[in-house]
Amino acid sequence: METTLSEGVEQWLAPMADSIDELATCTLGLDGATVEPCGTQVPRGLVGAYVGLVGDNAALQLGVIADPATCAELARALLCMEPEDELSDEDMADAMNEVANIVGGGVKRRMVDVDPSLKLGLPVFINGFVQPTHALETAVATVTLGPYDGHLLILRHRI
Amino acid sequence: MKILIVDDSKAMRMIVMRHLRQAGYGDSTLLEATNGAEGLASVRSSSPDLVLSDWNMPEMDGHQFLQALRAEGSTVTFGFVTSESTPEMRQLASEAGAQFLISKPFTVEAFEAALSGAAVV
Repeated sequence: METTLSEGVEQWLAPMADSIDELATCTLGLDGATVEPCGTQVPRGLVGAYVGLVGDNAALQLGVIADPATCAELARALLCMEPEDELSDEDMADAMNEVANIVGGGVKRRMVDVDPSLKLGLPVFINGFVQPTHALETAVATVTLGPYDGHLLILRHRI
Repeated sequence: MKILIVDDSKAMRMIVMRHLRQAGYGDSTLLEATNGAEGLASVRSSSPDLVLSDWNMPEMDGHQFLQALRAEGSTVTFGFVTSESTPEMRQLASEAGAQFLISKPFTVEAFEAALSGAAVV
């Protein structure tokens, strides 16, 4: 069946799951990622990186979020840090931003046939809760990358 | 061999360096820059044999960086390492004078194939 952008926000979860699976395998050397949709409620108490994906028919924010300790461990792995090395807040944000950037690029690559106008923004790290409004549809999934547990979050503006 | 890695993300520069070492370029001298403008200055001052550049960067993006290099006559081997890898962007990269484009996330094998294809030894 042909995919169109008239479907729900959940349609973006599959390409996002495929993208983070690819990142887990290629960049982290893990045995892929496990992604399970878990509704629309944005989890609280988590931090993470978001990147915008905007086109003529869609305006989304894609988030990769986890508890701060998990983000730090994931960043340390990406930066090849030794246990005794100190991780700064900026380095953690930079590493998580790169995760969001790679995942966002992967989603764009997988969805560009559906919407050729899609453009990828630059990632931003948010240390706090993103409050959805009535103008946003949400889709949330849990993600497990080896020892790292977090969430994937999609916020889509109603157009 | 001297390789210049241009990316605004420190994490990504580290990942690229790790892949280069695993792809057999561990003996190379690795230089870093955080955007196209810094990259341009580094090419002028250090004459690298290969440039690996991100596309989306602040100040001067990778495409503008490559265009500036070619405009001033540089023939340095240039490859993009970017999360942006649609057919349109690959065409833009090629038309601007890039020898290859490696899509993020990448494997060591992708580096080996791209660099050997561009006759980087």
